[in-house]
Amino acid sequence: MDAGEVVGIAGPNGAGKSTLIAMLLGLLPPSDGTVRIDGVAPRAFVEREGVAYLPELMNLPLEWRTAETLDRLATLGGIAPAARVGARERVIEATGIAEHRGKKLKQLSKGNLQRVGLAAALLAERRVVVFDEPTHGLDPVWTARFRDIVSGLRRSDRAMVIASHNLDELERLCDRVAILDKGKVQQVVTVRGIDGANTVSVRRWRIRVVSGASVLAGLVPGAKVDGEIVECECDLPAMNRALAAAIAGGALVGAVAPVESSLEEAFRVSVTR
Amino acid sequence: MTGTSPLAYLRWHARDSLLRSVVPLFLFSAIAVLPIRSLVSRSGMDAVRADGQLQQNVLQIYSQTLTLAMTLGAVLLLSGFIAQDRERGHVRFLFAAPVVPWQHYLMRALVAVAMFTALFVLIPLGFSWLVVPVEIVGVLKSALLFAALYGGLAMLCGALVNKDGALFIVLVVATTILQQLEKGELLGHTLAVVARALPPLVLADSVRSRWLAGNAPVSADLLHVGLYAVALYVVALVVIRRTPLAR
Repeated sequence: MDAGEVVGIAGPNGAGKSTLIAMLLGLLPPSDGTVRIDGVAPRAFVEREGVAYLPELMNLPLEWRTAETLDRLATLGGIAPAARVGARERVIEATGIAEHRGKKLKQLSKGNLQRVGLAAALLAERRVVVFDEPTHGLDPVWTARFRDIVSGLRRSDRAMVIASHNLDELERLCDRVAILDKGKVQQVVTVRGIDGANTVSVRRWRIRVVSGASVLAGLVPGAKVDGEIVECECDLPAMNRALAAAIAGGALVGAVAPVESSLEEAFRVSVTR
Repeated sequence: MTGTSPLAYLRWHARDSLLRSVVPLFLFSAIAVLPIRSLVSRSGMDAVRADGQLQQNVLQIYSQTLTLAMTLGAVLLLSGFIAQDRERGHVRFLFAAPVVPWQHYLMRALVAVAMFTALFVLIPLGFSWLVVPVEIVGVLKSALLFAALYGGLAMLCGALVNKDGALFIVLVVATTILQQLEKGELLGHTLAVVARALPPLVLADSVRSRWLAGNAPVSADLLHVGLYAVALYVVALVVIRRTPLAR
């Protein structure tokens, strides 16, 4: 992957996502092939620059307190003593954990623990960011905030890897998604264009046409009509052209809903091979 | 961009090592203070200082408890922490930072050994001040030697396996039995060679006995124990460097 890219890793349980991330951190050697970050072995890269990392579960001694945890990780992260308090307060503010700063990690809920992990990952500026199931345990509000934070982390010299079960999340955040199964990349799906616009080609559609369903069905090859419902397969631009033509031809469209995105379809096909 | 200096985390290493370093003080207090205090309060401090037999009894309690606290404290000092970091997944978080793992663990070990030694010497200092004068420098040297030897062994076990506590106990018990038998010339040639190759725990005990009695140990014995301890750390650090941190 290139700098500036956000690459997702999708896969069922046991597909090898966390193993791949352990290899990216240089904690496990590959059984075959090589892993390189910026031309060097992952461990050498991490020891030189560090990686912003958020695991699925915050694994740190639970007797540590929130502020202490961030102080420790800021120290390990090489943040200068004079800048540590500022960095700590910045990430506490960004992740909304001020009220938990004095609590031990074992006193925190799963969601708050995950926010501490996110705060830790944001402490230092890193060129490589690795998130492993980052929204695990987060409530919907913080899941949305997390997406904003990830969007804010996009930078032309930064590469981000996000492993997740959540295809919708990957589709929103990533440029490309690698679908992993049985320890191998089965397929790589492009979900964003260079300009950042989502170019996922939604393939299957369900459209409620109040009147003139046959007009729309006649414009999309293979479309099936069942009363007011038209089901068809085509990409996003073709869908728009067909709808515009159908409306111009007198059709009254009530609702348009994607049944399955190309990412979901690719995932389903890849992991059931 | 360069990695974080291994010295940066010293403060936190000290904090993490503090609890284990004060274990011998608690042990000594729990075992020795009550009987010594009862002897002293029954006869009075002057009587203890004047009565050779009474003083001998007090010193016997002191020295037996001191050696027990030193050995147990040294055993606990560095046991478990590397395997725990690995098994509980702390390594993923700690070593996503620009940190060299073997340097991180070396610093932790050095800080722990230094703190253990510095705190342990409070026992003879306090005893000398409150009861009767006892050897201090010998205790300091012994504490350092024991922390280094047992700490090195614990670190190597932690670097090698996740069930490091079990390996450590098996090694210590087996080594002590074999080396005691070897000392009494009760082993065949092969087992005697094995006993001599194992960590010199019995030899360390004899070096300590001489130091605590205010005598100089046999130089070759001291050299053997010291070099063995250093070798244990070197091998442990090489294992940390060479083997996967996530297992």
